[in-house]
Amino acid sequence: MTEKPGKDDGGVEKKPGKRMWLTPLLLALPWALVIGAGALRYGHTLQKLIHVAIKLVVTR
Amino acid sequence: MSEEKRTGFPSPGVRIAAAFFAWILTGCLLAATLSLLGIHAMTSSGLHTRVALGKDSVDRQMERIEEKIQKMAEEYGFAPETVSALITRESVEAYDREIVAWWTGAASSGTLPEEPHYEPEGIGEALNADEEFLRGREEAMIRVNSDSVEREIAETVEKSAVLFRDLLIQAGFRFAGDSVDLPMMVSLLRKIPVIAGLAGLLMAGLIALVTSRRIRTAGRYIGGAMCACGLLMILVTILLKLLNLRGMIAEASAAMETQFIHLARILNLETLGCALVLMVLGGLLMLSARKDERKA
Repeated sequence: MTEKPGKDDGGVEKKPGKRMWLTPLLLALPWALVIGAGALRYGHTLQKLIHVAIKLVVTR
Repeated sequence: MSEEKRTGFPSPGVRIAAAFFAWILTGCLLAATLSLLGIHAMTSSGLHTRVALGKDSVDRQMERIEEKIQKMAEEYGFAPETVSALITRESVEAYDREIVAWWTGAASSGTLPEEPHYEPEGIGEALNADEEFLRGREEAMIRVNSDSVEREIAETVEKSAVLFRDLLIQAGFRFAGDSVDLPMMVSLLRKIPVIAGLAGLLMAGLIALVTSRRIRTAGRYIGGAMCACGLLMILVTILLKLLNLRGMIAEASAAMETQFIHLARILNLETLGCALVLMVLGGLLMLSARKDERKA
């Protein structure tokens, strides 16, 4: 019986270790999309509000 | 025989549940760290004292005060050194500390106490000893003029330390205080990091529970969430930089820009430092989970 590559003698499939490092990226991605979408939608408005507030509150 | 018992790895259902809780844990960690950093940025008297007493900021203040003294010396006819010697760097820095304590105290508590004022000492006596100032002036005029000089210099020191329209802030506090219970709102806001932290602990507990208390597998998800939070903090830092706050502040006030550059540098270092610590700890947790999974 030929051994399939990546399988050990017990027949248990080895999980590739490199895939583990994808976990943080996959966990961050949905939040990054939410933050990015919020920035695109409200970023310009927020910038204008801050600009007005700075002009009102900050002195020369 | 379940897949977990057969293969030694959690079943897909367990992995999906653990991933879901890890995703929420990422959000909780992000909320806790960003709110902690935000509260620190708004209310830390130590941080803002460091910024206000930065060499560049105080140099700028002293230049502005010196310009005013020169102008007044020409207008009122006295030797500028008479008054310059009395407005020392130490007295200006002491006043800066009082102002920082005043507004950071207001931000921490939601109540605005009376604003401290700069009290220059000895200007009247110094001018009374200045022959140039006394020449051709009657006694009453000497007193009126020396009071004006003292008052205008005090105002210049105050304006150089308080770089925002304090009357507007005071009016805002009064208006807001009439509508809402500001101290209560401020204390609620300060609870956000605690609530987010507790929610994060709950998620970590749920991950441990669904992975049947296998610390190795739980560690992979919890470590992953910590790394993800670090990555998101870097993203938020980049987005805040894109807002171009420095440019907007520079348009309004060069003095405020100097302080803002210093403040932004410190806050960026703190944020990136937190992100790095989370990523390193999360990475170590994931590595130890991986090592233990291999041994099992």
